[in-house]
Amino acid sequence: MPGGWRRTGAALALISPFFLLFVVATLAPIGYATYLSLFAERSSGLGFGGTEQVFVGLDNFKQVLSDDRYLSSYLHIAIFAVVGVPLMLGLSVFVALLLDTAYARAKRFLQLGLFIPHLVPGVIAAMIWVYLYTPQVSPIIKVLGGMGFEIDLLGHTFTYPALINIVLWMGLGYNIIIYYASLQAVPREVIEAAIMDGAGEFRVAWHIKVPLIRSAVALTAIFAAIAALQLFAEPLMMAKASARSVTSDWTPNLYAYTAAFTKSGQFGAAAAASLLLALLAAGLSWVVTRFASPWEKA
Amino acid sequence: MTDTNSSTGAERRARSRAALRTGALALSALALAATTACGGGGTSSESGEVTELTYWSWTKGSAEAVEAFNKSHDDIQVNFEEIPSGVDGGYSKISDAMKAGNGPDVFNAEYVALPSFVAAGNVADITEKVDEDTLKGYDEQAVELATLGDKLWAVPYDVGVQTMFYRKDLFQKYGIEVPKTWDDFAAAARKVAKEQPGVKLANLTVDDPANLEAMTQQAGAQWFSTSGDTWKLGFNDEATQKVEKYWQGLADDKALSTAASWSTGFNAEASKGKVLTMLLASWQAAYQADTFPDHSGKWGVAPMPSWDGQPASGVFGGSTYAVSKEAADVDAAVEFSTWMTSNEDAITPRMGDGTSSAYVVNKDAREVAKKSFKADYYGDLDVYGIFEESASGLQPVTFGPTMLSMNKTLGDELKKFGHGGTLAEAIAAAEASAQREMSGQGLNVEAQD
Repeated sequence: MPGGWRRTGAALALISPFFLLFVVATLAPIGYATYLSLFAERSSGLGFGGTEQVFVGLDNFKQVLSDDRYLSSYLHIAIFAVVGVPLMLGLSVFVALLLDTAYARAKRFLQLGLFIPHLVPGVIAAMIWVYLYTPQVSPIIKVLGGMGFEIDLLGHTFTYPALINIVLWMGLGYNIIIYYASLQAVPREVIEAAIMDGAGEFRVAWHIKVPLIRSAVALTAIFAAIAALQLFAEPLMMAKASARSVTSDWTPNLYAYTAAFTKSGQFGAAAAASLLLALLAAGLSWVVTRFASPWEKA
Repeated sequence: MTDTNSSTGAERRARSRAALRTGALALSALALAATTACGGGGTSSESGEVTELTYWSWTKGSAEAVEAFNKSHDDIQVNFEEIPSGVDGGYSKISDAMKAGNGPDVFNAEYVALPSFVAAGNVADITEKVDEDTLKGYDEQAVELATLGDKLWAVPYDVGVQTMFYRKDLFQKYGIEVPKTWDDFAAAARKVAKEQPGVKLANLTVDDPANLEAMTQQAGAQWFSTSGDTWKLGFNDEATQKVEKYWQGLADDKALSTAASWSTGFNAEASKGKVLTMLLASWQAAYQADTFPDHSGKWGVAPMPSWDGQPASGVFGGSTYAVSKEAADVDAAVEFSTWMTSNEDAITPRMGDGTSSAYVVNKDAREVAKKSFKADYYGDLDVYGIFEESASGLQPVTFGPTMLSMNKTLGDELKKFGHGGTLAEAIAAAEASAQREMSGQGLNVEAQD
């Protein structure tokens, strides 16, 4: 079957760049991390005799799982996700619906304006906001102070609001663009039929438009949840700016980063921490795609 | 404003001693070009044997110093590569490269980082490689700082001597005497807080791990010591408690500004004259002029207040030249290291025409440093004389093998100090971190409390 082989060959050729990159950039690092996670640097006495690489089995996993700081890092991203993700999606849907109404003006300008923050790299965005949070220099705090409100945006109370605010600022525009594009694809005759039947703007939005874009919402929900799991740059910047409650191991990613690059030879622990996070992310993704698929079908 | 939110105190310290400047990259390129020219050119032709070394550093003026070294040596040629400052990623770069087997032959390590590198087995023992006469040219305390477990691991370049910077003009305006003891300082802090709304004598100060450590060392604390082949942790000794109660008391009485050390916010307060002192170290003298260019003539320099009024100082920064264990030619690397820390042609570019105020620990080299420092910002005060006075009270200090990692934990905890958390909690967390990590690495460790 020469024709069949040609088709298979073409398919392989087209798909191979993906697999090559997948192997080099995903599978190989995971494999190496798995290898690293089974070893640790050990020395003895005062430690000035150097170290040796020792096979420690699952000790690194036991060590990170018994570390309160590692466990609480999951609590932090869980709180962040539970509050931040619905807020992000809800606000994005709301604004996208507003933009889609017949009354909206300057739609292109608004879309662009809302999207621009997404183009700002995460670290820069975090730096800008952290500047606005810093008591002695922030114009916001100065104005509020002038009106008699003394607030400490880097303090314990504002940890989550301050962080979610940065992420919202960056993410809203992206989600809005996706929802708005899906809204454009909603058949106009369905909307017209609804209006003919006497539905107002609100009913049209809630009962026609939202159900029709739910696959887009589900997709962005997965993205937002994965982003929450991988939270890194924003808390890192806040930690550096002395936000009181944000430690150098505040999220699982930060924990792994700190263990690998600022602690002495803890690559094993860092690898173990990263693998556990990757497992969790894979597990969650599977659960979501497995059980959310009926709902996802628009 | 030269600082940004993103830089921590340690980064700033690293930079202040040895700031990366624009153009430094270009200079390193020049140096490399020069190196290649020398290595490949006529100088090597007579002996034929040229040892090539690689030197990694972030320190300012290193490129020019290396160039001078290469010009004056036929048998050793050094390739300089610029890396990010230590705590900015430079240390991880060095240890990662060594893991991969392509690290440098010589690199800079601060005293707090040196034990970590030694413990990781990255540093060559140079005890037998430096002759006694050469070693005598260096301050004894600095040599001790580079000595761990009775072996010399690095050649010391400078040491951060605790120093107080104070606003002369505002001290006079508010009627404050320059405090000599911590009691005087506390009294002045409470007076300023009471009489001048919005103004504080200092900020929390010990919210920076390295500063807290220097303060406890100044009082005589020994967080790390060794007995036989066992590390002893003494985070709860009398001296530490004294320092802890002192700063906690000032913070509780709202006598200190709560702007975090090294933050943009702190710089803003200091530039507006809302904070009257900065309790830092010798390296800051040059950096002060960069940070507050409008304040020329307004800052005074004085020895750090002490508990008994006598000169006393902890070790607040300072760096060394360490030779890699993988170095092909340890002798050549040691020769380069001693030259870089003592020769006039190395010191002059490192002092950057007066833009560094490193308290260099080689005695001859210190004279060069002293001469090159421009004290016009301080009204031609004998700044090095003040450093020398403080250095006469330099306390013997041992840094532990997990300092960098412990300081991360300590820094996290210290952020809460002055905002509901206590210094005692932060210090206890640091000790727990040190004990956990040291025993995790298989070291013998005992808490003394």
